[in-house]
Amino acid sequence: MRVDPTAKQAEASREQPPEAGDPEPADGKYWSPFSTRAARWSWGLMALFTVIYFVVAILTSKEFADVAATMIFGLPLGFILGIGLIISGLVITRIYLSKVEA
Amino acid sequence: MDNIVAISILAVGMATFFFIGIYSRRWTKSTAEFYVAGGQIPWKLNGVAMFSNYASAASFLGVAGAIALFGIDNWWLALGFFAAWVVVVLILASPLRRSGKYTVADALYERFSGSEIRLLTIIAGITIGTLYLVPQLVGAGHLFNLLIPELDYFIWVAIAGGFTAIIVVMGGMRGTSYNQAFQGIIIFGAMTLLLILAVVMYFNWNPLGILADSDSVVTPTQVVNNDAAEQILSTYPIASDGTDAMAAARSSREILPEEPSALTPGVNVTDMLNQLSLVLGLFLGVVGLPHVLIRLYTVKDAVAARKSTELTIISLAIFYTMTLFVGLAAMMLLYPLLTDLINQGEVGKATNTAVAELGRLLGGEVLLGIVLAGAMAAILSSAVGLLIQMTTTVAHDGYTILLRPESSEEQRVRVAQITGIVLTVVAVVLSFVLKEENVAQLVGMTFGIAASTFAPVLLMTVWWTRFTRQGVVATFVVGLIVSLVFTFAKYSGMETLLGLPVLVNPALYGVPAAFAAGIIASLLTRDVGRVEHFMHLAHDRDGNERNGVSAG
Repeated sequence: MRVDPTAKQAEASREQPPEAGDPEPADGKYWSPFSTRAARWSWGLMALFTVIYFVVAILTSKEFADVAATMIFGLPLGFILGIGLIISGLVITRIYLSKVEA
Repeated sequence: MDNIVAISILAVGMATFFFIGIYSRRWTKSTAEFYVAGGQIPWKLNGVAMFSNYASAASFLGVAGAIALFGIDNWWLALGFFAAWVVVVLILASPLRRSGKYTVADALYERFSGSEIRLLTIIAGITIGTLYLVPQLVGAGHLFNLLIPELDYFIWVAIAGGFTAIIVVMGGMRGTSYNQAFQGIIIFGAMTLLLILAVVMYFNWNPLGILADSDSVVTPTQVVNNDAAEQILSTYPIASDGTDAMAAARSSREILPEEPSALTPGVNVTDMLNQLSLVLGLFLGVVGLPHVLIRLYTVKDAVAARKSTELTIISLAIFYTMTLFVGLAAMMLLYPLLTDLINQGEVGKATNTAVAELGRLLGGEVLLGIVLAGAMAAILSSAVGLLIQMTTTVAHDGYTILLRPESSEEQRVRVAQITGIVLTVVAVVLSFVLKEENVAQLVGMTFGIAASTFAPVLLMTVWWTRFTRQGVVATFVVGLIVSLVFTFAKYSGMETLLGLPVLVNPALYGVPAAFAAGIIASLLTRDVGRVEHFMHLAHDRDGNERNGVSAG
């Protein structure tokens, strides 16, 4: 049976649980996950998707019902925004996977 | 007995679920197999299983049914369910998969020591899992009691609960995965079949015709609110065929020319604060749902986990788009029936049975049976996912780690199986007690609690180097208390609490409170755990490769 080495490492480390955490570095700064290219892509795309998501949510709330009801190409803006949210989610996911796995 | 063909199809589907559970029994000899199928589930199968795990009765019946009654506004739930998965894949799936082994608690424990953290994950996991499992069983009881009244609510709840326990106890995660994949195909296939038949039979082979027609229709709920229902029902009887029902739908516009159409947004939504609380709960809810996250561990590595998640996202995108079209088609093709049910005050029955009635209209008893099998698949797949997550949490995090580290493999599997049976009994009993509760409210509450507990804990553990052990505890405790307090306030009918309006979902208060508590506690303390080890394990693929660890 094939065993994931990451899981093996996790298992090995779990067998010796630490009594205390890592000592604080001299400069007070730990290695940051944000220094990786993958993290920058993750959070950049996450910020973009968050903006799209909440803009769509706000525009389809009661306060902006008139805006959402505006007809564009024969369809209400609210419907177009909903489809746009789904498509942007798919595109952002694809970009993330292609950039992170590249 | 009526509906004998439909019941037979449903019975065949359930027998297949049962067979898969029994067949998978051979693999449940070790804890690794029981908990995460030895990490050997193929990514495609895992992706379909994740889709099925997530597309519960609320997605299969509730979203399309609500659109059929209220119009496009109720599509927002589907959009939120979809968007939550994008959040998971962007910021959590890969680091969580790399850092853990069996459970979310394992990932936390990889960084922080201390039994209190594992205990809190057990408490929060059981709370969320049970609250999510109960509405699945309540939904099964109501739906099948309405459609097959020969068996009453209690028997259907017991059947659904019993099947859930059998599948989990017999098959463990591998049997659960195969079952969920099979159920996912049924759910997706049933929704696709409904859409294709509706388009071919009533909309001239043009799916966009559904949108065009629904833009000239007033929703059944607005018709009832304007006392126009009697006028429509006197012309078009409840038992109208699809063509007459569409004529009834079009007549609604002639009777109420000033009312907004079924495609007009903003008619049935709440105010801004309630809307924000709901969408925030949905956005972060999946990040905090352990029964979804555990599926990231059932494949061999992080790459497979990401591929599975992408397949799930694509499936959900197509599925939730189809629910909009099927919901609008159901509105027009069942217009007199839905109007009559709402007129009688049976909004819940109209919502939950709209998809099934559409199946009956389009394909007779055969399609009704397929839709019923799809509904049961949706209910069971979510229920078994929840049950195996809770079983694993109690047996692995509680029994093996906290109580009996020296226990044998056989004892651990036995405890997991007993836990599965006990938790099923608890959920079935709660489903009897909560029979009259609103299923959608229970599910929404679960998302809000998950977004206020596991979501902030996991995000800060995975991404913030200054997050401390005390911060984890503070986040869990404050998030759980705030979200539960505002949930109970909502149920007890309070309009304000501590000067704050009580909203439809607790997330708008629970999420910021949990993050604030975690940040403040962390800044006041120093125990950051094995942060260097953890961050490299979760994020530093190059470093891991240099050290001979799979980049995943």
